[in-house]
Amino acid sequence: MKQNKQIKQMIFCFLTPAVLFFLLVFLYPVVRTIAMSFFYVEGVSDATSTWQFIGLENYTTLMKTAIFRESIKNMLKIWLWGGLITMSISMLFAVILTSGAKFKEFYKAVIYIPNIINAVAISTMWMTAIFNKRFGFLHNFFAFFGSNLATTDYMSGSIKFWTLLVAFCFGSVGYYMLILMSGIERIPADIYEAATIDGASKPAQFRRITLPLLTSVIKNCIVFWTVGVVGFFVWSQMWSAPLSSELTTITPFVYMYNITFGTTGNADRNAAMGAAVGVLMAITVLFVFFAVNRLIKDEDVEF
Amino acid sequence: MKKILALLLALVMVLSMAACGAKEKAPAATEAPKADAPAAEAPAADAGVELTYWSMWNSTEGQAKVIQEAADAYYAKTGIKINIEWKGRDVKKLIQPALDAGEKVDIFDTDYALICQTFSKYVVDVTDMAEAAGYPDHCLPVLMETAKGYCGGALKVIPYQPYTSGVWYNRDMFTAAGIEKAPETFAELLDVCQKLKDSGVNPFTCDQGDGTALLMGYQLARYLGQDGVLDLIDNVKWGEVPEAKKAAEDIYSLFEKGYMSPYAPSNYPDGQNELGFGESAMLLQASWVPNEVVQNTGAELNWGYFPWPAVEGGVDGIEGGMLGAQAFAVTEVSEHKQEAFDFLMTVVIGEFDQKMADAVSSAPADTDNTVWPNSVAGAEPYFKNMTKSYAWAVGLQNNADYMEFIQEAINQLCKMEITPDQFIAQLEALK
Amino acid sequence: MRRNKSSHLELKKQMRLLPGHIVVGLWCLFTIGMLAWIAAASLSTSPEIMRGKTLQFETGLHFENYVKAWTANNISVFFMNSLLYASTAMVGSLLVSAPAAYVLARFVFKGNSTIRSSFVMAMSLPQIMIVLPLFFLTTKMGLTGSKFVLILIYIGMQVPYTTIFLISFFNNLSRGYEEAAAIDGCPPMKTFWTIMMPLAQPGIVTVGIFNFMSIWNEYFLSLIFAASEKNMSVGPGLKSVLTAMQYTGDWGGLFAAVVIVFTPTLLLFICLSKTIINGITAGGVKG
Repeated sequence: MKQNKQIKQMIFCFLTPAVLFFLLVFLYPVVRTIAMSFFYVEGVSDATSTWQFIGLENYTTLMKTAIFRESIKNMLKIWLWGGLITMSISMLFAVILTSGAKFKEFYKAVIYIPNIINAVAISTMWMTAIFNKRFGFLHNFFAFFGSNLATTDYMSGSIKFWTLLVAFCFGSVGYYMLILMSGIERIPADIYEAATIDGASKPAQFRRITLPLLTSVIKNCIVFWTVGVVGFFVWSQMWSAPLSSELTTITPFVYMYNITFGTTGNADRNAAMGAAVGVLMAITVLFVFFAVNRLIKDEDVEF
Repeated sequence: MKKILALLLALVMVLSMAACGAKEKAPAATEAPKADAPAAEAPAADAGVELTYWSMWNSTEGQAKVIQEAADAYYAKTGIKINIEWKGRDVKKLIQPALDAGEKVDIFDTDYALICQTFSKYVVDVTDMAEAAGYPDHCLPVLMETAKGYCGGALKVIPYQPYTSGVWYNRDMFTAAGIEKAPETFAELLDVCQKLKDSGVNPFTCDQGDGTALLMGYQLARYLGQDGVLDLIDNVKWGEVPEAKKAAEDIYSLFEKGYMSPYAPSNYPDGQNELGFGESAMLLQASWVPNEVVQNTGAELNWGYFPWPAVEGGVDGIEGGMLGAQAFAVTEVSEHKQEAFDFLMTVVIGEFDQKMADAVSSAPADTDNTVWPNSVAGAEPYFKNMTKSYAWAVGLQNNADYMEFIQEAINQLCKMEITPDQFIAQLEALK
Repeated sequence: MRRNKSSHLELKKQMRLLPGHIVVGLWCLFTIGMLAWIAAASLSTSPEIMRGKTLQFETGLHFENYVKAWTANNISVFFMNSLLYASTAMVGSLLVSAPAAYVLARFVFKGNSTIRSSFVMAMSLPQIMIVLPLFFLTTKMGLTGSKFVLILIYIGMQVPYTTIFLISFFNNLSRGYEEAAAIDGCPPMKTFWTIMMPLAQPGIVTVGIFNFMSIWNEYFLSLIFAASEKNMSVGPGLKSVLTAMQYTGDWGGLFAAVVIVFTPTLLLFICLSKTIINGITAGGVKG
C-alpha cells in the first residue's frame, strides 16, 4: 500500500513539469492561435478587447491571395520532390552502408555533417562555393569540359527553386539515412540468411524484407519530413536575400512572417491572418499524420 | 564507453553552470537602462538620464560605428547615456509590438518613409524642437520637404544618410569609347551603349532583384511619374496603360540588343562587381553601391554618374529621382524627448554627419558639410536639383499582395524568357 | 593461408560493393570539398574570391579575417549565446522530460495515453502555430529580448520530442531492476534517479545531443525572441553579419565567420561522432 502511494506521488511529481510546459508552450498558444484566426487583429500584441470577430473571412481572403497560393504550391513541391529525393537517397545510402561496406563509420559521419552545421552557414556555402556562376563549383566543373552550361545562373528564375531544393535535401539525407540504418540493423540477420539460402536476390530481399519491416520507421520519417517542410523558413530567407521574399522560394511560413510583422514599404499587418496560416499548416501536418497512419499498415509490430 | 558518456554529461553540466552564470550577469546589464538610473551608473552624470535607442544597424556596420562614437561623445559632454540595442534591419518588425507592449524605447530608426506610413502614431512631432535648434537651416531642403511630405506636413522624423540612385559608370571606358557627354534621353543612352559595345566592353549590367526592379521602375516613372506608377501597380492597370508596355519594350531592348552583360541579370552582387573587374561600363543602382563595388573588387575606378535618362513623351525628366534616407524618430512614450532630440541633432549635424557620409559613402545630410565622398561626388549636382522624389524602386516593391509576382515578371523579362507582350499579359492576369 | 583467403573474400566483397563505394565516396568528397573551399575562402580577400582565385592565395593567407570576424563582427557574442541556449535548454528539457517519460512508460494511470498522444501531436505541430501567442505573452510581460524567456521556450519546445523519445527507451529496460529495488525497500523516486536514469543513459545522451544540435541550429525563435544583437544566437547572428558584409563587401571576413560558427560543432562532432551515431542507432534498439 505504501509503495502504491509513493508511486502515485511519483507520477504526479514527475509529470507535472512536463505537463505544465506543454500547457504553456503548446496548448495555450494553439487555442489562442485558433481563436485569433477568426478575428481581425492588426498587431500581435493587441489586447483581446480590440479584436473584431469576422468569422472565416481570414481564411477566405487567404485562399484568394495569389501569393499565399503560390507559397502553398512551393511547399507542396518541396514536400513531394524533396521528400522523394531525400528519402530515396537516404534509403540507398542506408542499404549500401548496412551491406558491409568498409569505412562505414567514416561515411556515416561525413554524410551527417551538414546536420550539425547551422542552416545559415550551410546555405551561404552552397550559394557561394557551389552555385555562384562566376566562381562556384558547378561553373568551374562545366567550364572545364567547355560546356556552355557553365554560364547557367543557378540563383535566378525557376531554377532557383531547384537549387534551393538540392541544397536542402543534401543536408537532410544524413539524418534520415541514420534513422533508416538503425531500422535496417534492427532486422535480424538470419532473415536475410534464410532468404539468401532460398535464392532471393538482393533487390528482392530489399523489397520483400527490408521495406516491409521498415514501415513504421518510414512512417516516422514522413511525419518528420512534413513537420520540417512546414517549418521551412530560414532556407527560403537565405535564398531570397537581399529581398525579404521571392515568388519562387516563398513558403507559407515566410508569408506568415511577412503578414504578421509587416514588410518594408508595406504598412498592412494582419496578425490574425498569420494565425490563420498557422492553423492551416497545423491542419496540413495533422492530415498527413493521420493519412500516413491510415494508409500504411504497420508490419513490424514487435519482433 | 561509459567513461566517455560520464565525461560528456559532466561537460554538459559544467557548460550549463557556466552558462547559468553568464545568464545571471546578462539580465543585470539589460535591466540597467530600464531601472531609473542609479547615480553610480553614470559617473559624470548631472542628470543621470539614460536613453534607449533601438538601432536598425548591426554594430559592425559603418553607420553603427559613427552612431556609437556620437553616443560616447554625447555621454562625455552631457552625462546622458545612450543605451544602444543593435537590432538590425528587423527593427522595423519588432518596434511596433514592443511599443504596443509598453517597452521603454526612446529612439529608433529605419527608412523614413516607413516611419511615417507605419509608425506615425508612435512618434512625436519634433517641428518645434527643430525650430528651436535651428535644424531646418542645416537639413538638405529636398530631404526635409520629402520627410515632411511623407508625414503629412509635420516633421516627425530626423533623416540621415540620404541616398539616391542613378547610373554609375566608368569614366575611362566612356572616354575610350569616345563618349563626351552623359546621355539625357533614352535614345542617347542607346547610342552610348552602341558606342561602348563597339569599343569592346559590355555597356550595361545589373543584378536581379533590386537591380532589375530599378531599371523597370525608373523607365515606368519617366513615362508616368511616381503617382502614375503607383496607380498602375495598385489598380493593376498593366493592360490599360500603354506606357507600361512601352517601358517593358525599352528595357527588353537593352537586353535584346546585347547592351547588357551576358551574365545580366546576375545574382547580387556579381553584376555590380563587373564594374569593378572592368568588364562592364554602367550600372543603375543606389548610391551606396560604388562603395560596395570598390570594397568587393579592390578596383580603383574613375566613377561617373548620370540620372536615369528621360523618355520621349514622358511625364518626368532627370529632375526626378529616388531620394531615400534612414531616419531617427523619438517615441511618444519617451520621458526624455528633448534629450533624445538633442542627441540626434549631434548625429545629423556637423562632424558626425560628415563622418557618416565618409564611412558609408553617402551624401551628407547637413548642408554645411560640403565634401561628398569621392565615389558619389558625381551625383551631387543632380541631387541638389532634384525636385521630384520617388519611392524605392518607384514603389514596385511596395504592394504586398503581388510584389513578388511583379519582381518575378521583371526578372523573366530581363532574362528574355518572356516578351514585353507576355510581361504585360502576365501582370494583367493578376487582376 | 586461412588469413589470406579471408582477406581475399573481403576484397571480393568490397569489389562487389564498388558502385556503392563510388556513390557514397563522391558524396563525401563533395561535402569535404565544400568545407575545404570555405576554409580556403576564409583566408582569402574579396577580390580574389570574386575572381575565382580563391585557392591561389596570391596575397598570402589572411588570418586577420578571423580576428575581424571574432571581435569586430561579434561572432564571439553570438557564439556564447548559442552555447548558453543550447546547453541550458538541453539539460532543462532532459530534467523535465526524463522523469515524465519514465512514469509514462512504466505505469498505467488515467490520462497516460492522453498525455502521450498530446505530446505526439505537439511534436508534429508547426512552430508557426504557437509562435504568435508566445510572442504576445512575452511582450505583455515586457520580456522581449530576455535570454531567460528564450531558454524556457526552447525547453518547452523540446519536451514532447524528448519525452516520446525516452518513453521507448524506458520501455526497453527490464522491470527486474525496479522489482529488485522495491524488494530492497528503495522508494520509487530514488529508484528512478539512482538506477533507471543511469540505465537509460545512452538514450538520454542521444536525445540530449539532438536537442543541443537543434537548438544550436534554431533560427526562427531566436530571430523573434532574441532580436537584439547581444542576445542573438549564431543563426540570426550570422545572417546579420551576412547583411553587413554584403554592404561592406568583406567576403573573406564573412567566410571566416561561417567557419567560426561551424568549427566548434564540427570538432564536437568529430570527437563524438561515434557516440552520436551509435546513440541514434541505440535509440531504436530493443532490449
